[in-house]
Amino acid sequence: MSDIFNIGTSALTSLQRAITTTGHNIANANTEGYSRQRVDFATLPAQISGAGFLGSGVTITSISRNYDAFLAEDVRARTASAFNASTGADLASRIDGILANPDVGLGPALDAFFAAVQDVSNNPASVPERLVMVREAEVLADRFQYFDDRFRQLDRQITLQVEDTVRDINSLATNIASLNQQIVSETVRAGGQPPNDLLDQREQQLNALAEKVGINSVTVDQGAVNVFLGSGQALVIGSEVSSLETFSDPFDVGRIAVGISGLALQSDISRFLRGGELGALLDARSTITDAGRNQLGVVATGVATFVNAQNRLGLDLYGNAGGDIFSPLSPSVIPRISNTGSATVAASFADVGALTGDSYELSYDGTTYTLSNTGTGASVTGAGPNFSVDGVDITVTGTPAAGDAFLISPVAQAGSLFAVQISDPRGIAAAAPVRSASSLSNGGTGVLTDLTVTDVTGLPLATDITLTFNPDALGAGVPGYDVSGFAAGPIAYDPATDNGAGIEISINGMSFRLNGTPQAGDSFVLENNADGGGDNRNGLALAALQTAPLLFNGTASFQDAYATLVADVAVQTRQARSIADTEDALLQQAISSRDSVQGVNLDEEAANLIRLQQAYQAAARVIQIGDEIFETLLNATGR
Amino acid sequence: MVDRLSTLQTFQLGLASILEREAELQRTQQELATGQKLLSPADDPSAAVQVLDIEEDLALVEQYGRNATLARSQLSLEESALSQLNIVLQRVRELAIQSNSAAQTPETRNTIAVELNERLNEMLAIANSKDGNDEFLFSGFQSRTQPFTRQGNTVSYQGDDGQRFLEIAQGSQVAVRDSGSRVFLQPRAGNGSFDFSADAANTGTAVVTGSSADSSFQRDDYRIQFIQALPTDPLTYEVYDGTATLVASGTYISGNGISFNGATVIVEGEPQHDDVIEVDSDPRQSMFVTVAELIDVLEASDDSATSDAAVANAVSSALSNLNRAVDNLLEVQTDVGVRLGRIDTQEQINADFDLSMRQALSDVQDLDFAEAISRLNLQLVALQAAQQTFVTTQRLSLFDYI
Repeated sequence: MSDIFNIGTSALTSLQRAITTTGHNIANANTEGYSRQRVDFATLPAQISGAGFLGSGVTITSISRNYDAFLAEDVRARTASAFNASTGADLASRIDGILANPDVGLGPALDAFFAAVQDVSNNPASVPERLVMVREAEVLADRFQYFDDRFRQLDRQITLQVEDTVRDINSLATNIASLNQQIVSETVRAGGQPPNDLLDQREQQLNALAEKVGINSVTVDQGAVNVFLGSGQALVIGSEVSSLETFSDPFDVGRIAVGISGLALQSDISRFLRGGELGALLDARSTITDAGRNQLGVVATGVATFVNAQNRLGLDLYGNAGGDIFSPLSPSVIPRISNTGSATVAASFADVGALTGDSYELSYDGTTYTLSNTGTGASVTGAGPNFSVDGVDITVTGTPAAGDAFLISPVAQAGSLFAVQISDPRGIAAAAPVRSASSLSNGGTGVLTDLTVTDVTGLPLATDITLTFNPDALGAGVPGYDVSGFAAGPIAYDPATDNGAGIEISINGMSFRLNGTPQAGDSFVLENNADGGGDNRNGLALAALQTAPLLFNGTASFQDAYATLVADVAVQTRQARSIADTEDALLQQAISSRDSVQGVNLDEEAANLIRLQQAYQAAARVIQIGDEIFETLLNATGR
Repeated sequence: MVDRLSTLQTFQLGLASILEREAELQRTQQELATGQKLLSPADDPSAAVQVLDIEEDLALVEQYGRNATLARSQLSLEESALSQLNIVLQRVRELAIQSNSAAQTPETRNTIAVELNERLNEMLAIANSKDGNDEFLFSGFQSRTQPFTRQGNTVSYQGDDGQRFLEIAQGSQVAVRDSGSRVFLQPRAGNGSFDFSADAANTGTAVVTGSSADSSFQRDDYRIQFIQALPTDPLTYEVYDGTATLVASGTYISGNGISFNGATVIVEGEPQHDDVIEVDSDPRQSMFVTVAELIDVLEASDDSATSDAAVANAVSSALSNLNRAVDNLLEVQTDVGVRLGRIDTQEQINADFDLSMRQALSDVQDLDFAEAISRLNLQLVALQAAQQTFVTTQRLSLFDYI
């Protein structure tokens, strides 16, 4: 008789728990990371009777989670990728948005500067035009600095975000370690039953960690999880945590590197930290801010160097040799903080047109130097002390110690150091330093044209240089121009063959073209351009720099080089956005797959409630029937 | 594949599609508000670069337009100075011809000399003209230095051969100035190869009425000396070159050419013994010198036959020099005209280029409004549908029936 009560009671108890669990599911339908819990029913051990095994009721073997380790792992991996991509896209968009604004773009500033140069050439002797040109140069400098500032600001934001992220990672790792500890002790206490809610909580923490950085996790005995960073560096082992820390970059105190804390020798593991926000932040420094500043730097260095060089080839309004319009720029060299040797490294531009925007690391191993391109990874070795790479000359003086290294960034600082040096608008050299005059007694049609100056070392001229045509200049019957006023032999010029195309001649840094048919004794004079305020030849040469392909080995004008920067950032942003969209879709898909297994469906729970309620009512009925049977028996026997 | 959905999932999926529709709508709205389809370079990197290129081109064309306008005004200034000069030179020619007439007396020649003097000053004023920036038009690079100064009848040049160019298109420069030496100092002299003058001490009436040179002309200064030691001797001539070497000699016949080393000089009249005609091989002569020389001769003239011959020689020489000066002026004027024509053509080309670049810019970055508005309507419908289905499906729950 007691069997029926026992069976009824076992059913009531079990169903009550099942209803409770369903209630728990309903209650947590909106709890993030919650896995639907399931009650596993089992029959109680049967009793042996003469007729065979007699069932003795129901029991609950376990309350477990609907959980699929594979799907959970997939969500984690996708989370790391998606957060990596969206952070990357966000960082790229910030620069893209700045470059998009036409009011602050470099293009209009370059256009305005060179328009002012043209206006100076139009009116070389007039001061107001020159003043405008100096002002436009200042606007251009402002614009370079503005962009450089934006890149640096992004760099600073990234530094702050890296520090925040590292703090978050450490706190998440600590949480996971302490949850590991609780899970192990609860599992033991519950005789091996899983502590479902704690497991869900840890899952949440792992996913949160994956948002910050790419991780691998391995479940070990008694439910603990070991967490490893991308490269295999252990972050959490059971309840032990090795936290990350940030420290100054060995080349740049303003920049931070990430390493494992508590080690005697700080080692930068930044390049091993892939995925998650941290991976994107560390990547963005090299792909967005460094690359952007370097490309901007190439344009800035180009403008400053070529404009200065051209201005130095001219004469200012006072008749003096032109000086620098912009402050001259030079490569920056940073010795590694840990260097112990006495060596210093100097770098200078040999050919600004050959600059690539890359930086170089020069390291010394005790016998040889290795010069490696930090962008492409290409490297050369040599005994030193002179190196030449991509338009930059590098010279080591002193003795380095083995392991010493220097970072040579030819243009990284150029955007921020770009400044106007000239303050007196009369200092703009619109005139050329020499002019030519044909003698008034020339009877022939010989002309001297296209006088340009390529080198002012021999200028101003000590005496006028006179070229006089002589039919026998180079021996009887060999015509040419005798040169006086400068130590040079006669210039061969035969009107019979050279008239028409003319010939190009260079002497003393000046080049010119001779053409026509001169008569004997016809002469030309090259003289200093005294009082030549109305001359605009050098001004025209300055203006021509705007469209000349001077950068990247003669393939790009200043504007082209800037357009390359805009295009690079735009393509990067576009790519990053598209990757972010894809990764987000993949993450949503992984979450869908996971939630289809572990999420709570309220309709399902409602149906379960009905089912369990009905079963409960039936079980209660069993007890009632048992009671009635018992009552019947009592009444029968009690009479 | 999945037949089970969690409640949270259906909610989030429904919400996500609404948010997505809203984002698309927002984008279209922004495009319509700005009228541009490129909101940031990342929307279309190659278009963004094109926009930069086109904007640079447009800025350049605008600058070239300004340069061309300036070039035209400068050249117009030069053109008007040159045409004034032409008028003056024509007047000087008239005066020169007038002064050679037999009706002239020393007094009337003096009057002509006075007018010529004024004309010389007028030429000087033209040669020293300035532009709106207070710069001299004809002083070459030394635009702040007065190019021509006159002392007595000598005009000297302080400028140089410099010529200013302006850029009116990429790689295309047009000269906006001509130096004073080019306009005033470099006309060819005489017949183009040599000029002549009668010695002031001549006592005869020899007058040069023509001269020419062929390609074999050897440039040098020559003296044609007439010899008639005794009145009964035949009148002969001897020609010496710059080193006093005799190069030709013969019997003088009035109106016959005297030829030597590729040159021919036709002399008429009656030269006296030791009269000399100089052949000056300096190939160029300043127009100021031409006028000044004529003034000198006119002022010194009296009513003798010798003086008439001197005037006739001077006028003959001056006329050929004036012709060369007018030729030279015409050459410069033609040059200026061609430059103005080039500017007009280039401006037309620039205007066409500007138009096509603006069209290209518009194609690259401007929004197709018709397309955008129909897209907006479509997106509105899609958003409404998403919202409605969300509300409808979220309302369904089994709990409503328990």
